[in-house]
Amino acid sequence: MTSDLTNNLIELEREKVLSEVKERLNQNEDPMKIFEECKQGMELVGEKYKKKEYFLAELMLSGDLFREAMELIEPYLGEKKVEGDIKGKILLATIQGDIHDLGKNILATLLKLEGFKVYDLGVDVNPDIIVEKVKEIQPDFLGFSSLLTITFDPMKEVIDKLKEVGLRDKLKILVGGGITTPLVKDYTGADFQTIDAMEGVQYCLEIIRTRIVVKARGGI
Amino acid sequence: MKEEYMTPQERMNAAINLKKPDRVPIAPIIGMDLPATYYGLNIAELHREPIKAVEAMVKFFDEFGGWDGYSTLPLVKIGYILGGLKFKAPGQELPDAPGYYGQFDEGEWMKVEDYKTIADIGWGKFVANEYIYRISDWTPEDVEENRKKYFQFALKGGEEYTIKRKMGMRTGANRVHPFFLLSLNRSLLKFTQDLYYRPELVEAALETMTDGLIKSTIAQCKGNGGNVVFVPEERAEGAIYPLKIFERFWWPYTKRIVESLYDEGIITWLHLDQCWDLNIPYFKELPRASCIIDLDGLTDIFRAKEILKDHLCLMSDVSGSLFSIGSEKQVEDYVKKLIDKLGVDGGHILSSGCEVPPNCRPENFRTFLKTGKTYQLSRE
Repeated sequence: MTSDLTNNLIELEREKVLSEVKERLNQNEDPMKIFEECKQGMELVGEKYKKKEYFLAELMLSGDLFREAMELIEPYLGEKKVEGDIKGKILLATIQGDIHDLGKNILATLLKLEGFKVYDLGVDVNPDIIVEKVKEIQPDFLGFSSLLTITFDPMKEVIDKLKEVGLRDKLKILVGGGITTPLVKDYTGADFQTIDAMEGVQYCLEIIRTRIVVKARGGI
Repeated sequence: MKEEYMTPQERMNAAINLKKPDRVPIAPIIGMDLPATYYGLNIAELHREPIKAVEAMVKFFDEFGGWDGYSTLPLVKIGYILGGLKFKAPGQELPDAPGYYGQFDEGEWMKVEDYKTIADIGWGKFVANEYIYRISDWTPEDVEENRKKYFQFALKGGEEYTIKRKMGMRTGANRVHPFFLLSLNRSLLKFTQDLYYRPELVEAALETMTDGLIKSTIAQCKGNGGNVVFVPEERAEGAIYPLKIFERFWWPYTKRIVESLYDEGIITWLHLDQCWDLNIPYFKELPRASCIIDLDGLTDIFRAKEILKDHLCLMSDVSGSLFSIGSEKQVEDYVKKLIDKLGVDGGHILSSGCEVPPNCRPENFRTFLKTGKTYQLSRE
């Protein structure tokens, strides 16, 4: 049984969602409960997307609506944390020469909703900066967003440099964006390629799940 | 091997009209970035002096032995700005350094209140009256000077390709689809919010923009003798929007554009980037041979052929990744597959999926042309 707030978020009823959140906060309702209902709405939107009932448009609209709701809820949370356990850390970048950030931003939103800590380096990022950030942050994943073929060599350069400094095997690397194909995965030396942000999220979740299982069985 | 017996014009016309050409016509989309990279030219300079971009393109065309279809004109910054699209160019907003090429600068440059203005006066007047000064640092004098510069550059392109080299497909006009124009100028998220939360405003603007596109395209093609209009779109497809959005905000306007122009003898070259698998069946509603469906490798072109065979001409889709990091063998195999599976009886123009990228391996481009020119003739 889902609440009206959850259902309205799923149905992208922006005014209804925001006015209900405001009203319930004004009535001193537990902000965590309101947050959980919004979060459930986002999870169900994700389910609909996986079942191809929803499209990228609905993912974007619900993500933005959730962001707006959170802006209202957060001041009421005080010391309470809504993040829960961080599932993993991911570093995202659009590499040097490319200023497109649409796909990267969508992926970042979806990953945050799934509990990942996202470090977004922005667009037109120098390969050396990415290598330095990997050293500093030690992420579980590195994700490249690409819309231009001129990014293939700089992405490969980063991965080669990570090999040189012994960091390549400590993380999984994703390449995504309309111009990428399996050929790009092989050329750059990445682990995963997709043109669908949700597939990228599923890949990260699967890797984390596998690690948990391996750890539970006494592996590394 | 069998000899060619058609001119590029005859070959292109045959393919568009779903009749058998002597061989598949070839029309890769090549802007200035690949020729500039190949000849080691400075991209920043070409954005400032577009005539030099045309010179580089025709030199490249001649060196590689030519092909059949007219490429679009090089996408230079002044062209984007004059059309109402914010743009970042090397040497201006981007570093003047190797590896940097001009790109759209998508953002929320257009505001919600602009829809009404556009609905009232049309896109062209909106851009000329006020918007051009919002997306550039130009003065009215700069606008005038750049208009002249762009006109001379377009004239030069027409002379070099159409008159001197007798290219087969005469692109009389380039028009970004109204839906795509609004999306790029509002940003994808804001435009999507407009579609869902302010649909009447968007519809009113699309109405006026569609009428304006049709009218200005007919006038321009009559003026320059062109019979094809290049219409790019990469935001309305089923990868982004459900069919209820496509059916309300894209399809009726597109249908009106294609049908109205076809009545005037103009073919609409629909350049459809991204995955249109869900939308392909709709194109059967268009008049036979009224447009070209140009795909970029993300749509299943072989399925599209099954659906649109004997109805519309497809323009194929050798991908940017294949051109830039694939092997010659991979390019050759894919071109052969396209020719084998899309057939040789018309309705296929061999092309690149979107633009041939600047870092295309020259040997891959040669293989693309050679296989396209000889594979079918060597078997007949």
